[in-house]
Amino acid sequence: MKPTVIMVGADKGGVGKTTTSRALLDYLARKNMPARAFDTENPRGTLKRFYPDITEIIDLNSVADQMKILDTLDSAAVKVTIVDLKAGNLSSSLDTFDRIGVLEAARHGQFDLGLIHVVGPSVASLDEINEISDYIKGINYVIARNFINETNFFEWDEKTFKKYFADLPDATEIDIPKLNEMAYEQVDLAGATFSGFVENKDARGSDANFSFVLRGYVRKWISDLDGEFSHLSLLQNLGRASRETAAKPKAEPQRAAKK
Amino acid sequence: MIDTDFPHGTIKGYFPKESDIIDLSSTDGQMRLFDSILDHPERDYVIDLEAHHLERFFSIFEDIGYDKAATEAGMGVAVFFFLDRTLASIQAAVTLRGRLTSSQFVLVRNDAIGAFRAPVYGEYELVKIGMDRQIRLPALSADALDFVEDPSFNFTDFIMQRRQGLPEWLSDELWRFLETIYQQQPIGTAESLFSA
Repeated sequence: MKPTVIMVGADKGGVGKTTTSRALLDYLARKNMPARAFDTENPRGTLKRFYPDITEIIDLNSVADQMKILDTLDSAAVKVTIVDLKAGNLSSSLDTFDRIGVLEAARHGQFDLGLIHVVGPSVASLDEINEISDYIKGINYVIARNFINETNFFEWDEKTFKKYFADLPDATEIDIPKLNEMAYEQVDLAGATFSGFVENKDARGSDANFSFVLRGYVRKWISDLDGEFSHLSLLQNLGRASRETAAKPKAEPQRAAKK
Repeated sequence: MIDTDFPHGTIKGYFPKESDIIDLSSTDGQMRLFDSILDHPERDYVIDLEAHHLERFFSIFEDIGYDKAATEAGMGVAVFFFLDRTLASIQAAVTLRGRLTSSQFVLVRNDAIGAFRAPVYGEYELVKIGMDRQIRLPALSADALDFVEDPSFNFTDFIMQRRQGLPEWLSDELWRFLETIYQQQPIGTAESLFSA
């Protein structure tokens, strides 16, 4: 199975970037696609609070940390890597990846590379798309419109909206649906994964006593989100590769040579 | 008894001790309603649902998978839908029926509001609902209605004959009203609703 790197980024804080990373890790876990994650919100880390066992906090400006991600793609036990890019650092992170040849390697098929760009409800946020357009050519580029906080997106005319996508014919759009605020807050406070919360499990996996109503809201949200993620070719390919790997018969143990 | 007429509480006016007023528009109110019922599934509950909450209530009901959870908790859910004279009301009943998975659906027709405005088409559409049961409420006279709508009146006291001094005509009318309803209950009365 070819390694896959999915970056999740935004050039502005508070647009739901880490929520999207959490939702993605949750999706992959539910689909039996093991993943590892790198949280670049150093030194504190946000993603790591929810996925402590599979997440490492790194500084993307550090060469040693860049190596931790990129030099281990083939050797890592899991082939899917999620990189949660620090808020406001999307362009600079892509520039770093470009300079060290990561983007070029992905374009040549050494591994699959995707970028989920979480955008907020402002023209400034859409302007980011133009800023990064040179970097994303030849990689899977996904615009994620985050409705989780019930923001009213793109209420301007269709022509204005389409203008931003004119140079990006291969871009895919997904919506992160709205989640009831109290439910979101409870999951956040619990430090649990979304699926764990639905299953009434706390951050340590022990039985919890979360509200049925709030769990129901999260269950519905997860189900809606699955529908969005299932459109992405990057994840479809991953699912296919994962199923093929699982179906491949294991090599028979070699018989001892006859004396 | 759960009264969704927030903040007024019409039902609470009749059952002050037994009723809780819930604001269904707030998540907190939804949790007070749904979570508290599942916390005590051994009790019986009546939810008096305001018409303007119908869509919201069943949207939440469906989204959070309450039907299934209630069944798993050993509870039976029966939805009593009071039909109006309009086709829109029948269509609302058809839609609602389609959204319920394991709940019983009981259609209630109130003689006091009269027949459908489009009787032939209305009766034809009614078949689509696929209800589990239908109950007809006989019309009460205006005087009897005034009497039963007084917050000091309740049917339990009347049946237990704790209410003295009623005019004979009124007492007769109320007995007829109740008997007409009770005679429509299948054997086993209320329990039969939940024993499928």
